[in-house]
Amino acid sequence: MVRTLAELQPVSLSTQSITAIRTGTWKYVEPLYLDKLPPCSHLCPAGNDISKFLSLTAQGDIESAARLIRSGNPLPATLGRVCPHPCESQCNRVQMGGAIAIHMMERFLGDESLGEKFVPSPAASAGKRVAVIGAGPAGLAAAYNLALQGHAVQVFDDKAAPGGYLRTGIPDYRLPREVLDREIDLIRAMGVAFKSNFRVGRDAAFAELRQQFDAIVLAIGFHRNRALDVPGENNPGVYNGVQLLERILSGGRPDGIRRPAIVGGGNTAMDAARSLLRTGATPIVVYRRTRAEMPAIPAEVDEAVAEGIPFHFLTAPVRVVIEDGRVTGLSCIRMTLGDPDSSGRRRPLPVAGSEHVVPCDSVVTAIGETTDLDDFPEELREGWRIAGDERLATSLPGVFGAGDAIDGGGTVTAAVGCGRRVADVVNAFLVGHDLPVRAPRVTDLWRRGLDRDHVSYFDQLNTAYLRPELRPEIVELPPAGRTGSFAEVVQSFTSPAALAEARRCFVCGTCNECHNCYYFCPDVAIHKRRGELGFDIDSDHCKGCGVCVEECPRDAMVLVEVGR
Amino acid sequence: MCCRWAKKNLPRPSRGVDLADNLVAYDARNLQIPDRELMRSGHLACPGCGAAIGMRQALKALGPDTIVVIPACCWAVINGPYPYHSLEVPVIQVAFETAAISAAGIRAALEIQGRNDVTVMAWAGDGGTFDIGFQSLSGAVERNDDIIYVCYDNEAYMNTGIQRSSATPYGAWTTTTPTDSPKAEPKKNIVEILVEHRIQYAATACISHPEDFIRKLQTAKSIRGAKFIHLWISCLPGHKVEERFSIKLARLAVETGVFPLYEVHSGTRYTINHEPTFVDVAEYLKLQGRFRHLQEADIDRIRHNIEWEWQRLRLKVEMGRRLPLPPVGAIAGVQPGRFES
Amino acid sequence: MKRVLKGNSAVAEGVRLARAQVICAYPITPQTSIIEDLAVMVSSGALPAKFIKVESEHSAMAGCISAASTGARTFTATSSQGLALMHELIHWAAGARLPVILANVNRSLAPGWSIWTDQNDTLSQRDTGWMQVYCQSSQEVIDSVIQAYKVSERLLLPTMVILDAFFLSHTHEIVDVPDQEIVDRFLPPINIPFRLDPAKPAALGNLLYPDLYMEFRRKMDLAHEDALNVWEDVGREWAGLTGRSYGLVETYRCDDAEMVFFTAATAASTARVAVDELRERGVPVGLVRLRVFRPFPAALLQNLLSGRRKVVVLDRNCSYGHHGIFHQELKSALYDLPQDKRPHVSGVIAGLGGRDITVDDIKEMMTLAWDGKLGASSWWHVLPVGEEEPAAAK
Repeated sequence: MVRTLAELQPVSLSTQSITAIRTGTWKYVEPLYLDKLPPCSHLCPAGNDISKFLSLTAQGDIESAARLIRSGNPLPATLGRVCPHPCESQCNRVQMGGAIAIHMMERFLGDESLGEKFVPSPAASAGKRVAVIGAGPAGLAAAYNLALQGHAVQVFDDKAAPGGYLRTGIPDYRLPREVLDREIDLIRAMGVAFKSNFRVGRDAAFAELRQQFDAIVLAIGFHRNRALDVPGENNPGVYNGVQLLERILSGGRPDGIRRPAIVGGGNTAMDAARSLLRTGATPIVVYRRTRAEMPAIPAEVDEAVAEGIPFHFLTAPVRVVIEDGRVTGLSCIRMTLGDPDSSGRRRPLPVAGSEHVVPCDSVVTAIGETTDLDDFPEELREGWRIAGDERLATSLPGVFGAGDAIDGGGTVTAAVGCGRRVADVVNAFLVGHDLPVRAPRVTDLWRRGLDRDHVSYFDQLNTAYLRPELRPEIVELPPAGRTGSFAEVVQSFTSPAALAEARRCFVCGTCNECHNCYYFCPDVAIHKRRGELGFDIDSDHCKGCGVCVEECPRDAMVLVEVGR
Repeated sequence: MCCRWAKKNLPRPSRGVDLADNLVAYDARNLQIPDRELMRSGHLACPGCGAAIGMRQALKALGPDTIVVIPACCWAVINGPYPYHSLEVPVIQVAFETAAISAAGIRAALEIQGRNDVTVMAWAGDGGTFDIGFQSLSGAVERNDDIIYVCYDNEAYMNTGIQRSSATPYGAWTTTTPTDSPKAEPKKNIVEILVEHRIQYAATACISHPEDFIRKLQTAKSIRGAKFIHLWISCLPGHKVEERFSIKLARLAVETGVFPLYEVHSGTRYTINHEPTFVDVAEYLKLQGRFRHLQEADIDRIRHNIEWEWQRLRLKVEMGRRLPLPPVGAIAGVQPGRFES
Repeated sequence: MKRVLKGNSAVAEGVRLARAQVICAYPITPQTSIIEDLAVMVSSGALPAKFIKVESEHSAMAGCISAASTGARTFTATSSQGLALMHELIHWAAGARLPVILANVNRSLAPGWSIWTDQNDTLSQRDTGWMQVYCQSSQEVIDSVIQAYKVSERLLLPTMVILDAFFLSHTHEIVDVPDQEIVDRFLPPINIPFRLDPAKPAALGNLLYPDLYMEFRRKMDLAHEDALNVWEDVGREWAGLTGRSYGLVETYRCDDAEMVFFTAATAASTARVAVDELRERGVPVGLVRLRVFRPFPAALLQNLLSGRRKVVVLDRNCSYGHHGIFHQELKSALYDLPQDKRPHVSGVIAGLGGRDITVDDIKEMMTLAWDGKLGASSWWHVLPVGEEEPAAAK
C-alpha cells in the first residue's frame, strides 16, 4: 500500500485485480450442486442411473454409459427387453413429445456391452465364499455384485442352465436366448461359478451348504403354479402354465393343444398364449377382470392383441368341461367389477345366471405363482415367502433372501434390484460390518452424490431451455410375419437413433455440464474444474444471487442458507 | 403461434438466427460463446446484476483487444474502487454525457498511432444514452466514428436510486414517478432513432440470449464505423424483482414481445432474430414490483401496445425487403454494391 | 520564417509545429478561424492528425480527454459559451492529469449576446487545475502554444493559451514562425506514463474513496507549484533556440517605479504607452503584465512589488460581489508582505464586453490612483466618465 505522496502515481490508475475484494461475504444464501433423483430412476426397481447413462450417451460416450449401467446391473440387455419400464410412466418428457424410450436405451447399451471388455474387475478378495441358490435375475444380480466385491460366489440352480424364469418363462421372441447367454457369460467371466441341475434337499442338504459357505443367498423365485381350484382341473388337458411355457421354450411342442384357453391376465398368461400361437395353436385368453386391471406388461398385451389373440374379459372359469376324458370347453361365469380390493383393483363379482361354456381343447392355468420352500428349514418359511426382515436377512445367521421369493416384487427388474441390495447387505456381513437397519435402496448403491429424497418432477425444470421433440417410433416385426416363429419382435435402436433419443433426455435432476450456471453467473464465481468434469463455486466471490440455480434447466442445483 | 399476425394479414415474421430452437437437449456448450474470461470476480455489482452478466458476455464476444469506455452509470461503481479493476481490458471512466465521443477520441488516437487491432466499446446506461448522452451519441453516429456503442438498458436511473429516464416504460413506478402517477409516456425507441441516422448496424439484444448478443457484437466488430447495440438488462433492486430471477425476467421481456430481438443493417434491412412465444405480458409485469400498482385495464393497454409495436416492426421488415439497395451516400460507410447481410 | 499572422492563425501554426495528433473542436466566434486553419492543414496533410468535428464544445473536450488518455497529443480551441459548456470536462482533464492544450479566445458571456472580448470566460475556469497563459501578441501566441505542450506534458497538467477576441485573435502582426526542426528539437513526441493499452489492462478514473481523493488532488497542486519553475526553465530553453523570452510576468519601467500598473493580455500594450506618457509628466509609474495566471507567481510578485507605494490593477473581468479577479489575487498575494512593504492596491474594472480600453482610459486610471482617488475596491470604469466617482482612498 502507498504510504507517501511521492509513492503515489499522478493518476489514480487502477491496476490491481478486484478479486482481492471478497464479495462472497455479502451473501446469505449460497448455491450448491446437488443432483436429485429423476422420476425415471425413482421408479426403476433395478436402480439404473438412467439420466446419467443417457447423458453420457448423448455426449457420444457409449462405452462409459454402458460401463455405468453394468456397474451394478448385470442384465441390461435382458432387462431392456423384458422390463415393463415403469421408468417411462413419469418421464418428464411425457409433456413435451413423449417419454424417453428408456427401455430401448437400456437394451441398446446392454447390447453394446456384451463383449469381454465390459467385464468389470472385482475388488480384492476377502477370502469369503457365498452360495447363491437360484440362477434367476435376483440370484444373478446378487452373484454379480458379490463377485464385484471380491467374494467367491457359487450359484446353484435346479434347471439345466442358469437364467431361471428368464430362460424358462420368457419366450425367445421377447428375449433371444443368445442375449441371455451372453450376459450370463459375462457374469461367469467375473469368476462366478454355476452349478446346474442342483436341487437343495435332493443333491445336498441345506445344512451342508451352510457349513461350506460363509453366506447363503436364497433367490429361488416363484416357480410353483397356483391352482385354479375348479372341478376338472386335474385332467391331463389342463396344463400348468409355468411348466408348459418351460417345455415350449426348451423346444418342446406339446401335442393336442389346438385351441387352448389360457386363464389369467399376467405375463405368464401372455407369454403362454403368444408362445402357443407360435406353435400353431389358436389360443384364447380368459380373464376375470378387464384389460385395465391386467397385471401383464401393457406392451405385451398390445402385441398379443395385435397378433390376433381373442380376450374374454370379465370371465371367470367355474368348471373344466370334460367329455370322454378330454377337455372340450371351459365353463365360465360373467363377472362385474365392484369396489377396489386390497390390491387397489376393483374386485370382480359374479353375475348370477351368466354361466356359459367357452369351447377349447385344453386349458392353461396362469393365475400366478408362489415359492417352493419345501426343502428348506421351517424357520425360513412364512406363508408363500421366505421369512426375512427389512435387511433381507433371515433368522438364520448368514442366510439372506432375494427376489420374488422374499419380496414378491413380481418383475425381473425388481428381482435384479433386490439382488443388488442383498449383495450390499451380505458384503457388510462378510467383511464384519454391522448389518444395516434395513437393506439399502437401490439408489443408495450409486456411487455419485445426490439428494435421493427429492425427485425432480416437471415443474422443477426450467422449461425455457427445453424444446418439444417427438418420441421415435419403436420398430417391430409386422404381426402377420412374426407369429410363425420365435424371432424377436421388437427391433433394436441403431446407434444414430440411440444417440438422438439420448439427446432428447432432459437429464432431470442430474448435472450434465450444460454450463448454464457458468455462463450466467454475474460474478464469474463458477469455475470449470481443470482436467475433470464439474464446476466449483468460488464462495469468496459468489454473492448468492441464485441465478445459477434458477437457470439450471434440470434442477441439479439448490440454494441453501449460509451457515453463519 | 404466429396465427394472430396471419389473421390480421400482416407480413410474416422474418427468420433470423435463433438460439436454442435447434437444440434438443439444451446444452449451453452448444452456444457459440467464447471461453476466454475477461471479467473478474469481486466487482461491486448487486447480486444477480444484469449489467454484470451483460459485460461478461460482451467481453467474451470482443476479446482482449478491447478498450471499454464507461460513463456515469452502474458500471462506474461496479468496476470497483481505486486501485482495483474488474476487467482484463483497459477501462476509462468518463463524464456522464460523453460515452460516444470518448470512444471516438480513443479511436482517433489509436488511428494516429497506427493501431487497427483494437475494438473500442462505449458501455453506457439508458440515462447516459437516451437522455444526457444522446447528443454525443448522435454526433458520433452521424460522423460514423468507428466505435461499438452498447447501451445497457435497465429502464431508469438505477445507480442514483431508480428515477425515471426516457427509457422507462409506460406505467412503471420509479421514485420520480410514484405509483399514483406512474410514467405516462412510452419508452423512447432509441434503435429507430439511430436507424434514422443511417447507421450501418443497429441491433437489440438481451442478456437472456447470450449467443445472439455475442453474435451481434461480433458482427458489429467486423464493421468499420458506428455500431449501436441496445442491450436489455434486468435490475433487481430497480425492477423490484428477486435476485435469482435476473435472467428469467430478461427472458420474459423477450418472450412476451416487450423487447423484440432484431437487427438493422444499413438503416433499412431489418431481421427479427427471435420469434417470441408471446407469453402474456402479465407474467412479465407481475414478476416486477415496479408494475405492482397496474390494474387489469393498464395491463390490457400494454398488451395492445406490444401488438402495435410488433405490427410496426414487421412492416419495417417488409419495407426493408421492398426497398432497393441504398444509393451511395444514403447510408454511412456503404459503398456501391456493398451491403452487409 | 517571418509571416504576417493574426492571433488565431498563430495558434494554428503553433499546433501544427507541435504536431498535435487529435483535434476535437466546435466552431464559435471568434475562435472559429483557428479550427478552420487546422481543418485545412489536416485535410492537406500539412498536419498529420485526426480532426473530430464534434457536435459541441463539451464533446470537444471529452474527445481530447479520451484521446490524450490513449496517449495522443491533443488540441482544442473555444471561446466564452463554449468554454462554459466544457466546464465539467475542464475539471476532468486536469483531474485526469492530461496535457490537453486549449486555445481560448477571450469573449464575454451572454446575455446579451456579445462576441467581444473579456476574461470572465477563462477566469471562471480558474479553480479547475488548468494552467492559464494570457498572451499579448501573435508571436507570444505561437511561442506559448509550443511551450505549453512541453510544460503540460512534463507536469501532466493541461494548459489554456488565452488571447483577446479581435484585439489579438483577428489582428495581423509579423510573426517569426519557428522552423519545424527547431520545434522538434524542443518538443519530443508525447509519452505520458499511463495510457489505455490492451497490453496493460488498467482502469482510469475508478471510484476514489475519501481516504485517497485528497492525496491525488494534493499531487495536482504540487504539480502547479513545480510549474512555476518549469515555465521559467522551458522559457529559457525556448529563448536559447529562438532568442525570444517570456517570463511568468513581464515588467516595463518598473525599476524605479513607485506605482505599478498591473494587468494582463493586450491591455498591457496600451498600458505601456500610458506609462511612457505619465513618466514624461513625472509620475514614477511602471507596468507589470501577468502572463502566467495559473500557477500564480505569488512569490515573484511579492518580490517585485515589495516596498512600492501603489499598485493599480486593471481587470477585464469581474468576480461579481468582490472585485476584479486579478485585483483579488494580487491583494491576497501581497498581504503576506510586512506592513511597511505592502503597497496600497486599488483596482479598476474596464473593457468588459469588448469595450475599448484606450491610452487615455489607462492614464486616467493611473492618475486617479496616483492622486489617491481609488479605494481598495475595484472601481467600475463606466461611461459617461466621471459620472461615478471613485471612492476616496483611505
